Amino acid sequence: MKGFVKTIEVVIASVILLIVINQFIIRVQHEPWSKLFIQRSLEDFLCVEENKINNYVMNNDYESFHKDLEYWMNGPYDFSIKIKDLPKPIVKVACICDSEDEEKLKSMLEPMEFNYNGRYTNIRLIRNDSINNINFNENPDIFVYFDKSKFKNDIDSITKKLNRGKGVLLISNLTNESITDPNFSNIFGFSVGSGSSSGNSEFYSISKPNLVSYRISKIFTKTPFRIYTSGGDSEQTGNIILRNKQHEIKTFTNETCKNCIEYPIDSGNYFKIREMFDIQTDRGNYTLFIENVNANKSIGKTYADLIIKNNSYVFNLSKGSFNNVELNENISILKDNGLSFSTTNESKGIATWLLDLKNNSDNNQLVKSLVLFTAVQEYKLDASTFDVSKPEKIPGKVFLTCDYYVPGYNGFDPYTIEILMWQLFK
Amino acid sequence: MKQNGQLNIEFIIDVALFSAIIFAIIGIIISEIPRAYSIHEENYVKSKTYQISEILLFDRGDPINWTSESMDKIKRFGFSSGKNYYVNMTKINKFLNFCNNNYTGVLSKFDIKDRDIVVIIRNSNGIIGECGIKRKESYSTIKRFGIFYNETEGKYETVGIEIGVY
Repeated sequence: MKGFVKTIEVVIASVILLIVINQFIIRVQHEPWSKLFIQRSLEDFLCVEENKINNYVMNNDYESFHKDLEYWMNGPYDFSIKIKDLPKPIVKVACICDSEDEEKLKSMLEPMEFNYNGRYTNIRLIRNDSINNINFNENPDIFVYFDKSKFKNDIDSITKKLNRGKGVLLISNLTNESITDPNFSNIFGFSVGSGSSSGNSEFYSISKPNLVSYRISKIFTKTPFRIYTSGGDSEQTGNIILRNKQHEIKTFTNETCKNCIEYPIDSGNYFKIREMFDIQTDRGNYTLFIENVNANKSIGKTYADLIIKNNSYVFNLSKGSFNNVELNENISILKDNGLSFSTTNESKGIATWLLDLKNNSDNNQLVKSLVLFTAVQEYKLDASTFDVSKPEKIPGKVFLTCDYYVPGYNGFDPYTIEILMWQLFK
Repeated sequence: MKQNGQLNIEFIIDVALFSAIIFAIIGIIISEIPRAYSIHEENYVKSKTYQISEILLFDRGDPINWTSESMDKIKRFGFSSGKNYYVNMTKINKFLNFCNNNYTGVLSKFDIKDRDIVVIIRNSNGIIGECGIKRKESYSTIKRFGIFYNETEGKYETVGIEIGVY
C-alpha cells in the first residue's frame, strides 16, 4: 500500500512538472504581420488621398472611391466603406401615420432633394399604417410617429428597430402621464424633474461637441426649409415665419437678376442664390442663406429654399401640457423654462421626441435637421446605398478595419472613414 | 521476503514514469527549435521589410542631397522631400538607377546579407520603375504610398512604393 501511494506521488509530481515546464517553453503566437502591413498600407492610402477622398464623399462618388482602392491595394481583396458622423446622403423616412400627417411631414421636410453643405442629399418618404407592414426591401432609416398611442402600441417593434440601428422620431405633445410612463421615458431616456430653471427655446449647447444638441445645431445651420411663393409669372410673394411672426419676401426673375429674392419687399434690396440677407426679429437679426430659388412659374411651383445660419437661434415655441421633464445636457436638444422639448436616447439607434410644432419655417428647419440626426449619421459609401438593385457587401471571415478621421475643412463637417477590407478567397 | 539488491515493482514503475516524463519534455523542446527558428526568420524578414519601407518613405537620406553623390558616399537612401508622405521623384529615379546598376551596393546600404529585395514604383498609370531580384521562395512585401508633385501636370499625385524582401 505504501509503495502504491509513492507511485501516485510520482504521477502527481510528473503532472505538476509537465504543467510548469510547459509554461517556460515560449509558445510563439503567429504574428499577423500580413494583416499589419495591409492595415499600414490602407492608412497610408487614406492619408495621401485625403483631398481626393473628401471629393468622393462630397459627391457620393462611391465608384471612384472603390476603383482607387482596388487599384492601389491591388490584390484579392474586397472593400466596404463606411462614413461616420455625417448625415446620410439618402435618408429613407417611414411615416407611421395617416395620409394627413404624411402631407404635414412632407411639407415640413421640403425640399426633399437639397444640398447639405454642398453635398447632394435626398429624403425619400414612404407611409404605412403600421411599422410591422413596412416592406423589408424599403429598409427605412427612420420611423416617424405623430400618434403617441400608436407609438406605445408599437413599442416592441420600435425597440427592435432601435437595436438594429434605426432611428425613431415621435412628434407629439406628451402629457404628464406620458412622461412618467416607462414606455416613453425608457425609450427617450428622460426623467421627471422640477422644471424650475428658466431658459430660452434655443439649442442646449452650441459649444460642447460631445453633446447631441451641439451636433443637431450644426446640422440645423446646413439644412434648408422651403417656402412657396405665389403671384405672377416672374414675380411672387411668400411668407417666412420666424419666431411666430411672418416676414414677407418676394421672389422674382428678370434680366438683371435670375431667380432672386427681394427683402424687404419694394426696398430694392435683392439677393441672388448663395447670398445671405438678414431678417430682424424681436430677438435681433438672423441671417438667412439662399440655397435655391425658382421664380419662373413656367417651370413649376415658385419657391425659395432658405437656411437660418445662426445656431444661436432662439425659437418661439409654445409649451406643451406638461412641465416636469428634467433638463439634461446629455439628452436635451432645446431648453425652455426648465423643459426639455426634445430628448434622445442613444443606444444603437436614436430615439428623438419633439413637441408637435406649428408648421413654421424655423420649426421645419428644426424638424428636418432632427430627421437627419435621428436617421443615425452613419452610412455605407457602397453601391447598395445608392442603387437598391445592387446587393449589400458581406465581409469575408478574414477581415480588418481601418479608421481614418478627416478634419473639417472647406467648411465641411469633420467625419470618419471606416474601411472594412477582407480577403476574397478565405 | 525482500532480499538485498532486489527491486520492488513500485520503484520500477516510478523510474519508468520519470524517464517517460523526461523524454517527453526533451521531445517537446527539440520539436520547438525548428519552429522557433522559422518564426524568427519570418519576423526578421517582415521587420526588415517594414524598416526599409519606413526609411524610404519618411527619411530624406544621408546626406540629404544624396542624389548628387556617388554610391560610396551615400550612407542611407530616403525618398522624402522633408514633409511626411511627400516624396521627391528625382530621389526615386536616382535610387532605381543605383539599384539597377549596383544592386549589391544598394543591398549593403540596407544591411541585407544573403537575401534579395525588390522595389516597385507605381503611379496612377501603372508601374513606372522597378529594381531588384525576385526569388521563388516565400517573401514579405509591403505597399506604402506617398505624394509627389508632378511638374508636367502641375498637380500632386499619389505614388505607390512596393518593397519586397526575399
